[in-house]
Amino acid sequence: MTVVEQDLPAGEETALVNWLNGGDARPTFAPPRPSDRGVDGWPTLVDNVETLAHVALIARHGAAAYRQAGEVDEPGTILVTARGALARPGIHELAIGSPLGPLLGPEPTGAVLIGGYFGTWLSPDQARAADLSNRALRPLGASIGCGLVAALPVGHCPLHEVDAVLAWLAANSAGQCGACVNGLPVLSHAFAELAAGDRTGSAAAGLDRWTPMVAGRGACKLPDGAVRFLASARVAFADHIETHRRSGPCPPNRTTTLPTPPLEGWR
Amino acid sequence: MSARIVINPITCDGHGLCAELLLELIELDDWGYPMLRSAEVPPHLEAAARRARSLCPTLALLLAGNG
Repeated sequence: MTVVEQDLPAGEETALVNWLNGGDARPTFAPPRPSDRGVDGWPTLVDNVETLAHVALIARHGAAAYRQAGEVDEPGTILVTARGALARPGIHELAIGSPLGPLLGPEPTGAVLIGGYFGTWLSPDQARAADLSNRALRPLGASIGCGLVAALPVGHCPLHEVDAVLAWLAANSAGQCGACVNGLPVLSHAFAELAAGDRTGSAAAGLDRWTPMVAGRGACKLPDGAVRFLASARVAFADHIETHRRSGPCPPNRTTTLPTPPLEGWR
Repeated sequence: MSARIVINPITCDGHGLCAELLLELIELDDWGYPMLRSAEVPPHLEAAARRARSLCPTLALLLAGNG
């Protein structure tokens, strides 16, 4: 067993393999994918621990027993990380297809981020009506992703949260690919300008111009994920963005829901 | 079956030679890095594509297929 440095790209499968082969914990160019040639040149299976725990359950109890939870096409359970202004923050094992309403709880919430920092923002009403399955979330442009369900408090400015996450993603890339190294900070700055009140529309124009220059052009999915998160925010918070444009930004939020911790990094 | 251009985004340093040699297929983003208009190399551009591959200062431009 080995301990990998705590860094944003380090968990990506080619980064992990590169680290185990004696290199940096940073993504490498594929092909070859690790499943073809990975650690010491051998085909390598990369899974997270949650997947292996499910496999162990299936091996012990059988597929039929495993399928008693979840849905036909998405059987079993998932580990949901619930954060923020909802009933029970923490990690919960839920059957796939569980309704989100009870997880959010009886009190009103602000917008809800589903899937992680590469995920999708839903309105409180959308989130309350949704089930936690890809089948139910796909029509909303969302997916289970890494299992994050984060609810902002009522009255908190979502743009401050999005701004902080975008800046964090930009600061914590592997720093290898031009579109990401240049594009993510540029997108982050443009969003910060949008959040500050985009009177001339130049921030929105910049985001429109640079978003297609960033997505899909890295060695890993970080730029794609950041673009998805940003694009979702621009749609979900269009009214709020317009309010900032007309009246200036909201005051800082009393608390922060989405963590942006400093990482050790390969630097 | 024609050759396909593949650019290694890690090795690429944005020198931009490829865009000069293959302007029909490659344009540069706002930071000087290549964006593929089309990855498929038509027959009349195969020689230019091979030249771009050998002249790329970081050997980041690759040709997949029978290029």
